[in-house]
Amino acid sequence: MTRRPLAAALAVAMLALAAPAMSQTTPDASTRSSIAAACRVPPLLLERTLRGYRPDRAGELQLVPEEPDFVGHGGLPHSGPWDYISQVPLLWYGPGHVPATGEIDRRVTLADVAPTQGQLIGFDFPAPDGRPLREVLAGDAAEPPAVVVVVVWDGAGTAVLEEHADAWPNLRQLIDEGVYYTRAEVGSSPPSTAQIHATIGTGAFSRTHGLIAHRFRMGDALVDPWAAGPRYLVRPTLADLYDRATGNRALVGVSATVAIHLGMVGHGTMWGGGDADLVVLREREGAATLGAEGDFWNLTSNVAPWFSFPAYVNDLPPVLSYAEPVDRVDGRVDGRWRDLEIDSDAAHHGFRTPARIPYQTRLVEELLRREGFGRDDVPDLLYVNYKLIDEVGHVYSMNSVEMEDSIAAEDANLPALIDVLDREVGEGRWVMALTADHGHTPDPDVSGAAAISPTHVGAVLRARFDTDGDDVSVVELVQPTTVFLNEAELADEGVTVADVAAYTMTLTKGQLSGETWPIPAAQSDEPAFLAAFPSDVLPELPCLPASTRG
Amino acid sequence: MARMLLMLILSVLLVGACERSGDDVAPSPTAPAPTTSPPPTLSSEGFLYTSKEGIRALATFDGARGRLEVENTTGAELAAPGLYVLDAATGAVVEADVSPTRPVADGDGATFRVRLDRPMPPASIGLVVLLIGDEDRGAFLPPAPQEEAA
Repeated sequence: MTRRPLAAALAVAMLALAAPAMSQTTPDASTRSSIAAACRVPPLLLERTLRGYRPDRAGELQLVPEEPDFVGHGGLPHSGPWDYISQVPLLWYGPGHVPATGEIDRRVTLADVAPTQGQLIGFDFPAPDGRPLREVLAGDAAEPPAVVVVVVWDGAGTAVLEEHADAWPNLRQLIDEGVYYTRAEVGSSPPSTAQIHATIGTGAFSRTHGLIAHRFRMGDALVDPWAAGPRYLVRPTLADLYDRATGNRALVGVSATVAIHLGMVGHGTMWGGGDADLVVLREREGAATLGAEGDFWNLTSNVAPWFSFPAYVNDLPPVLSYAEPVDRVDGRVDGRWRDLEIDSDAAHHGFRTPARIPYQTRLVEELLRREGFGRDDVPDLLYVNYKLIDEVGHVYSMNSVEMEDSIAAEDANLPALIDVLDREVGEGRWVMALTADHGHTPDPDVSGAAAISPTHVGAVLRARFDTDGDDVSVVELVQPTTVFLNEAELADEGVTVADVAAYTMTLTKGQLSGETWPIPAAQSDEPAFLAAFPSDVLPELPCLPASTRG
Repeated sequence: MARMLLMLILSVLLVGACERSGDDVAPSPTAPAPTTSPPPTLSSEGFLYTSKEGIRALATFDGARGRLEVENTTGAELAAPGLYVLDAATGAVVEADVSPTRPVADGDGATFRVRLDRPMPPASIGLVVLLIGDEDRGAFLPPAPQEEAA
């Protein structure tokens, strides 16, 4: 017996012992089977998954491939509970405020960011899932920092940085000059942009703040997290409460590109007593996708009513004025970044290259200067998302030379950003937290992972369960970690979610092989999933860590 | 050259699909299109909730008491509505008892009494969140500012 079946068997035994305490009825055979499947997943990964689950918004079926396999096709996703996606850098740096402690080896999450910011500025923020980080607060500054800046290197998880260990000397140097958590993680799964930025802002995991994925249920509809502005974010951010507490004297600003970054700041004027915080995005209006960046800085109509946009940022020098070092990075001056023509549609005329990093930092400088961040006695909050690393991870993979370039460019920008803060806010008057919202998936050609096609998952489940001849499918949407099922249609078909889960456990990789990364024949007969189970068994799994069980 | 072509194709075809969401993949053929709610319309009368699916709700409060009006044109019965309030200063959840506990038929409207756990003056309300049965449907929009209401 291998380790995982043994763990599952133990889980069933534990369940039998725990059943009287968990409910008044003994789980039926179907439920026991679902629990056994779920308990094949390591407890820590289940804990992350539970923190990202709420029954009113989640898909009905959970999918967990065996690491390093993943569900995805076309572009590389970053969605699953594994360490390589969940673990992120977390550096706190602020001379005069944050002690030069170096590395701290304990598990912390990004839910700890907001309450720590709060303590730094003298505001007791009641974070549902986070705690103030004591090592950051061990300094002896007489005054709070005038500005606290949260910088997100989007997609730059710990594994991504380790893959390019020589590409970030500036960040490495800052580790000893600040507090760096070596076991920081985002906290919940699936860990993608909207939910983790909201965790940074609210100090809550996604099951609590509500933005549990990039597609979730809202009644009978499947919605995007920011399609209706901040309405689906159902907990306040630090910025919501702190700004109001200062009578809106505090400045709150965001420099990012798409609305799914706005969980850092929150609700703006939708929050009672809140004001229109400064937000700069670059999102394509009406786009069918969540990350479609536009050609100029803006606010799209879904978020514009609640925030304010400083129009002057579009008068700054264009991104192509920062392209020359990018062109030179491969030793040739040919108008290209590696193979990509910089002034082209494919490169978004320079914006999808490392040139966007100094371009955005110039914007941050202008924002600080014109708005007067740090100029009065009320501490201000600034949030910056640099998105290039995430884009490069999707298109080229985390193992690519383009990723090396991108991390090096982000790292080279760090001293420039610090100079901007010293110049505009003042030396010793600010604190920066630098982190990432998730990691990235290694290129399957490097990792040997099987890429399981979500299209084929949907097709196989339909072929098996859509048998009543009507035009309503039992499968609504397949995502990398979950399947949205039509439970009414399942009932019409005479099956349950547990039946679908049990069948999914019988599928092989060969049945679900996609076109972009065909699964090698040698893996074809292997099970496609480590576990597939009904989502609603998650909260009471006996194999969850004891501290997690409800 | 082949790599360059591949990356160009990926850049054009995939960035939109991938960068948009991280965990998104192409919807399956029968997946419903992503939906958005209508542009925000504020009410001078109270906290207004509208959805593209056909829910219109208006919540008003006076101290610990309030009223919830719900209109249902979704094409299906709505489970019993409810709500909760987030305190504007602390973010604390203030539960509400909404009565009578009964569903709202399609094409129908109903008015419910609201009793909050504690009095909530308008200025102390951070967010009001609609419940349909056990499902959290997101926040009401705040009342229109007085100058807009005039």
